[in-house]
Amino acid sequence: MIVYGITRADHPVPQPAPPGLGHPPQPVYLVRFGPLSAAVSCPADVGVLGDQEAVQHLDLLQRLLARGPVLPLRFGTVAPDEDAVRTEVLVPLVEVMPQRLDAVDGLVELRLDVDEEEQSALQAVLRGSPVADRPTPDALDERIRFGQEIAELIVQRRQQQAEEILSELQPLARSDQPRRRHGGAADPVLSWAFLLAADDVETFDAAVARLRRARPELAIEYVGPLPAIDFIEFPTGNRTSAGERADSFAGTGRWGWGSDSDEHKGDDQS
Amino acid sequence: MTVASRPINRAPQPSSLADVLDVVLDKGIVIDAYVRVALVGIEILTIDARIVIASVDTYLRFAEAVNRLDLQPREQVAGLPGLMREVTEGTARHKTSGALGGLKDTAEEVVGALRGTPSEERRGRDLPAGREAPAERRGGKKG
Repeated sequence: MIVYGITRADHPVPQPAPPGLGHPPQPVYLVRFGPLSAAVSCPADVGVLGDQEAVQHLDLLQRLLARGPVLPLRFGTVAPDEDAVRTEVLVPLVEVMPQRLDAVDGLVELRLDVDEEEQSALQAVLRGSPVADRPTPDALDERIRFGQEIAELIVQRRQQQAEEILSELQPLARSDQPRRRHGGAADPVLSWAFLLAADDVETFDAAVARLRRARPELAIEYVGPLPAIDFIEFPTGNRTSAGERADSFAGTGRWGWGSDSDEHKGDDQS
Repeated sequence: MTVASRPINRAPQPSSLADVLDVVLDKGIVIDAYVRVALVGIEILTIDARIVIASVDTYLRFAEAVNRLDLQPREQVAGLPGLMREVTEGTARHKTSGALGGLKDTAEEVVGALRGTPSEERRGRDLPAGREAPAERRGGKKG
């Protein structure tokens, strides 16, 4: 049986129940213990868990999220039977999870990834700047230093853009926080998560639409609603190595290296 | 304000696999007791084996980009040399458009600079034809 996420025991599952992963796909249902439940499905064969299945897993969580708080279980978690789900999954979580789920009841996470085409940013910072009149040095170390000066201008520009965007959006959200490292030469303008009431999503939509109109030079990816994973305190020991992985993403950014030799990251540039 | 009246503003899911995995893998709750509950193998093309040479690469790309930009108010460099430089750069830009092109270009620059091959050409950077020499750059790529 495949386990997808944790919800409250009284969580209404959409009807007809959405199909889960595996072969043949079986409907998702809840295994309950006390105030908690785990969303599971029980296919004969788990099958391959690949890229598409990851997207499907997220899709299931989002369908559940539409009817109440849900927190994802790590993709690929399986159990032999309902009893194992209760004793191994729900029992250890029953102390803390109900409060955490209550805390994000009615709240969703929206993500905003903002970047600017390199040429556009360069044009903007170099136009009228004395740097633009200097020839690019020949020696490698001088070229690096020269590029570093330009990078500083670019970073300044991005920081200013980020501050302006945040000052417009932060007042609309309950909470917000960065999702990637900012401020480096290869970092995006903004990669941010916002927590807000599901009822306020439309207002936020309108603000992002205004932002898009006002700043056509920016590429804005706006995603949600997602489970409020960036705003939940997980019980210690139940958290994946999220920190490490997040760091490995943070260093890559979307400028150049990101689209090399990796089909999937290509999507990133949209 | 109807959905149909304007282009899609918000996507339900991230367009990149990395961001999907951020939700279902990185941030997903892990069950410690692996006695009966297990994590089955996940077959996803690894996306975290990435190169982190980012900074120097970026700096070099920026440095080189200065020469390629069309910055409007630059009367100082007008006149014949400036004009010719623009012409040659116009052709060079074709080959390096897009992030990937720029990347290759930079990589070749580094390789070239380490080998010291282009320095002779570059010393004559006032001569417009010398510094962009795309053919020579393509040659540097082979190594």
